[in-house]
Amino acid sequence: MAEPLIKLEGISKRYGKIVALDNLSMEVPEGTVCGLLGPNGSGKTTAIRVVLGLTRANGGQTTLLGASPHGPGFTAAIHQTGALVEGPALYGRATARRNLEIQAAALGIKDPDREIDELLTLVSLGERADTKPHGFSLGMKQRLGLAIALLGNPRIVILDEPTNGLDPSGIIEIRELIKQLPSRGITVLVSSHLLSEVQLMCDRATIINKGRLVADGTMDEILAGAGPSGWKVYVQGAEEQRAGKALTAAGMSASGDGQGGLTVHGQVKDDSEITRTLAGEGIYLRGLYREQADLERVFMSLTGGEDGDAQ
Amino acid sequence: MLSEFLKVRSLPTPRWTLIALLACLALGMAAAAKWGVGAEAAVLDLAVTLPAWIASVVFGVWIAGVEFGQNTLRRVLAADPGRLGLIFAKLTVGWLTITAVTVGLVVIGTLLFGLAGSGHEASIGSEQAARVGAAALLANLVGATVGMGLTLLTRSMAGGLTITLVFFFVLDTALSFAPKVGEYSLGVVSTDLDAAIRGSQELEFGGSVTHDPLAAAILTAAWVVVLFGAGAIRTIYSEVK
Repeated sequence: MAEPLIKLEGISKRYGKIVALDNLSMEVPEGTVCGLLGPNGSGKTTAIRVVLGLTRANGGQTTLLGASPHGPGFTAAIHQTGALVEGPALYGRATARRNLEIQAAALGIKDPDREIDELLTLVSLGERADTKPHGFSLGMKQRLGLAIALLGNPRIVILDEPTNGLDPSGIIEIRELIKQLPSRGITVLVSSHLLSEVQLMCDRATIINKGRLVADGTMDEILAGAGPSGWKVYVQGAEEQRAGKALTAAGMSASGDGQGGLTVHGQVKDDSEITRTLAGEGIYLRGLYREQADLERVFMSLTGGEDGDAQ
Repeated sequence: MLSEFLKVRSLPTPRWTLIALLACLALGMAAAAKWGVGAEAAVLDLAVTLPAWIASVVFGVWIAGVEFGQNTLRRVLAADPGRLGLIFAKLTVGWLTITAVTVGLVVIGTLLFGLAGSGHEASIGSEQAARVGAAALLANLVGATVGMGLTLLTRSMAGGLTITLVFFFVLDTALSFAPKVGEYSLGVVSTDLDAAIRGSQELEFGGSVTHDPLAAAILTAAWVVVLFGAGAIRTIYSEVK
């Protein structure tokens, strides 16, 4: 198996008495969009800072493209990494284009003009290239920050809460952009506290809470942690018991809420099997919905809905 | 280093600092036309070297502090993690810019003030201009480097400017009045060096030199190394916010 582009093994980080990361281990395989999930204050940004060498861990091992922070090869690894940490860091009084030129110079990119034009177009800032970002909306700043992270055609980009402060259309735009990156050969690590966002754009996820790992794996593996998916069936309240018995007799497991709502699990091929069973008993449905497993449920079940602040 | 030059070219503080220097140059021309260049090219000191020293301190603080002021240090280090390299790129760009501006202003000032004051008796000789320029250049590089060091130490643009001004105008001045150790203050040793470059045994604002040129140069360098080094060490070993 190929070496993961990012690997954290037993990373610990303390700020005085505060434990920001507690024996955290995770990996980001090449070619994936990997989500780093957790509530505010759970240690996501600290983990990213450790990976980028901005913060030194108190214990454990980290590698970025095979290089340890501040060790041999780390500068080369950083040159192949794009990052957007804690919001876009922009020179507000330099134009959007000049912000990219400054970054290109720092990365040692020669003749970056064409790439800069392409990236400004990609993030829909082509027409605002010569505008200074101090007057940009937060969404435009985020998009410019993303363009800066993508400069130099990196192997991996690390995006810390890239949809923070964006309106719904901005969130969709950034999400679609991130989903395209693996097709350009770019692996993505994206941190977020917006669980639904991560579910929509990531192949893998690592969930942390209070600096500790609570789940790690492919999205399917993690969603499986939510338990079996099922159906929600609504009938007249007076018919709930009879409907439950009919469904159980048909080989399904059904539990009612006493108000005409039943949760149905078991060997159910599709929803027609439920409607057919109930219609056979003369019971007509008021509603039938497929219950999807979602990250929110997984997260709540894994963390018990605790506050994420590191301790 | 190119990225540091791009910041100098693109951001407003260096531009406004240069505009202020050019305004002082214009005032110097007006003064030279009305009263002449003064004894020992006084107009050059008042309209060029003094404003350029203040500008150099501001520029030194700015080039070190811009990443703190704009909160861009994490972006800079996420592009190139070499903190020592970043510090020396800023130092190099700072020194090159200050050298170019100081030499340019002294040359232009000498020519323009000479022309503007040609109706008066006193003039600025080329050797005198060269000595004033060399002394100004050294003072400006020292001022800027100390400003950079103290800004790196405070990790704040505003904090850096405040502590630099307090250092030069309060702490170092107070130290210079202290018995025994006062003669080793940066102000005293750098003024001795200034007098040596100007070829004078008398100090510009009265009194006589305390140290010979070599001792003054060593002591000035020691001050610069200690203050800049402290800032550099803090930058290298501290967490990036």
